[in-house]
Amino acid sequence: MRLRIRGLTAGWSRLPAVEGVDADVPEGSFTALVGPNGSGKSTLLKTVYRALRPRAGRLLLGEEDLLGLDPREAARRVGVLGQDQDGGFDFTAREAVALGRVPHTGPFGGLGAADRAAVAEALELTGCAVLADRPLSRLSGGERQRVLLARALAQRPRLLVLDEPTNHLDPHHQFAVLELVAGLGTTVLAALHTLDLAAGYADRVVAMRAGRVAAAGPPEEVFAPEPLRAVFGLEGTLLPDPVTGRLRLLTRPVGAPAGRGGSGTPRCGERGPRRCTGRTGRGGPGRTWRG
Amino acid sequence: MTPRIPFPLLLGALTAAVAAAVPLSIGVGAVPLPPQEVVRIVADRLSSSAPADSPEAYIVWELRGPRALQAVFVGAGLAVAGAVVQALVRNPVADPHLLGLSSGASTGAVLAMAAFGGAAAGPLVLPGAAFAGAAAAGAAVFALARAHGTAEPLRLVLVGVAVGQLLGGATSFMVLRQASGDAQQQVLFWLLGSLAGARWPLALGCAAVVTVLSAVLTARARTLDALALGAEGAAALGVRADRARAVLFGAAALLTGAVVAVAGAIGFVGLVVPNLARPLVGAGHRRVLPTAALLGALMLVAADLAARTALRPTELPIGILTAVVGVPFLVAALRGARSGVGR
Repeated sequence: MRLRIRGLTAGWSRLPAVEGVDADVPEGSFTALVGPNGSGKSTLLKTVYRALRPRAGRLLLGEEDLLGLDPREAARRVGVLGQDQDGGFDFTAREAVALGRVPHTGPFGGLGAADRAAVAEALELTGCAVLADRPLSRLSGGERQRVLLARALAQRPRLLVLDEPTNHLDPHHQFAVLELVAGLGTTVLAALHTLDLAAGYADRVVAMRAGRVAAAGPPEEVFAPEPLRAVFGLEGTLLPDPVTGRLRLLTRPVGAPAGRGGSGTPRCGERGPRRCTGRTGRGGPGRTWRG
Repeated sequence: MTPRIPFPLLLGALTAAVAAAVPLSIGVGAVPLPPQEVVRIVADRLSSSAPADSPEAYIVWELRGPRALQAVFVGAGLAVAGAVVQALVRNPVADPHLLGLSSGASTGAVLAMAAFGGAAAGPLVLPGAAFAGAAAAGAAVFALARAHGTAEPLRLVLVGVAVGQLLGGATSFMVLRQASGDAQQQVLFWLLGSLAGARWPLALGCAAVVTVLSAVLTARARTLDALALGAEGAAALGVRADRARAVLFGAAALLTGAVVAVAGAIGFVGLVVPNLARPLVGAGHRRVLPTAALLGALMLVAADLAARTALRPTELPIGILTAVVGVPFLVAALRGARSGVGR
């Protein structure tokens, strides 16, 4: 379900970390939130999943005012894969995923048939079914991230919010998480550190700098040379992956000297963005998870 | 990992163990009574309201009965309060003492003793003061730990430790000022804890409060699970951490107050028992709380029995026994395959 962010100002200290942000997450899109450290990505996401109350602005999920909703109601609509939220106690994977049903269950928190089905489906989708009875402490980083994603899916959200979902993961698992998320068909808003991954998986990119939106649009536009230099202080080359057709972004420091073979590569951004749209689309062939 | 015992089976086994331990414990003493005799006396007494007509009946019903009941509910209450506090501060080594709750109860009791002169003030004054002291300490700790509208776990622990130390100092000061050795003896009761002198009205009151609050807390088990993820993780699940923490911490403070008011500050149960329960049933509080309650009851009945018999006819303070019984169990559990703690 689409999310519209309007005039959002939020932060922990007197100086707001996010100021006057307008942004759109279109229905069914994978929207990546990118920006340097401290640019306000996490703060923005926290207001969306209600961990932080904004000082001003509106969040519209569909036609509903997200900030006016009861917290439980909001949590039924927005599922979250946050940072460092696996708890100090050693839940099994199934228990951890079942927590995603908290906003759906009554005061005694008993799981009904629908709840158990949602948990089982989330475990299945993320390839975690075989891990279900293992304690989180015995899982690898990649496995744990999948379990936490399964929890967010068990919420049966209309909007999936991911805060750095590829953090601490090796390249294989970075791709695996994003392939999975992109294949879900749910509306996704994800903060991503790795611009290359944002270029490859997002339909839409919102680039933030110093608490404001610096650029927004399809990856071909946001990762064009001009915005790339202005927002990130980087030079870059966009080109389609020769095998998958997904966009790739090669970045380098501004003014890096051209070395061997440096000048022969076609610079996608310089020839105009439309040359780089040969992607296979979302989902792609890699939907199954090989852990 | 080791396969777990099915939860209903475990709950049934623990309930049976508590039900068996109570008459056994009642039967042990200067006048030994076989468990079936104890059960018969209790059944007689419950079926007819006639007063005790034999010395045995008097011993069972008036002396050892309330004490055994109190052991059950004090143990259960401490264990549940411990598990809740551990979830709130996201740390398995927390307990009601660490957060200053028991210190508040002791200070309340000692203050009342100084003001009203101990037992002369009537049977309800000291327990009432202890209960009020725990509640007040809880409110103070929570209020001082609040910043930006919520009491973060680390602040809660630090403030709890500080307030506990302050109250401990105040209590020691008042104890030193108490002239008579008799009064100091009474103060020791609050500091070390004891089940001696249990009487029906207080034992029943404690049982009622522990039952109600444990039920309320078990009903909020999912909220406790969510809080174990931290404030942001809880918010993502639709749980308002600030409000939930206030309510649950308040319930834990009242639970501690009800227990300490009748039995003094019995240590170690709140710390150890939840850590014994987690390896058995996992970290989910819907299972941890009832399991901990039964384990706590069992542990305290056993500790009370040991306290009464180890150095007969002298009775040991039960706090010493809970530590002696608890430490080996805790070490064994932590060294076991899956502790449910940390990673």
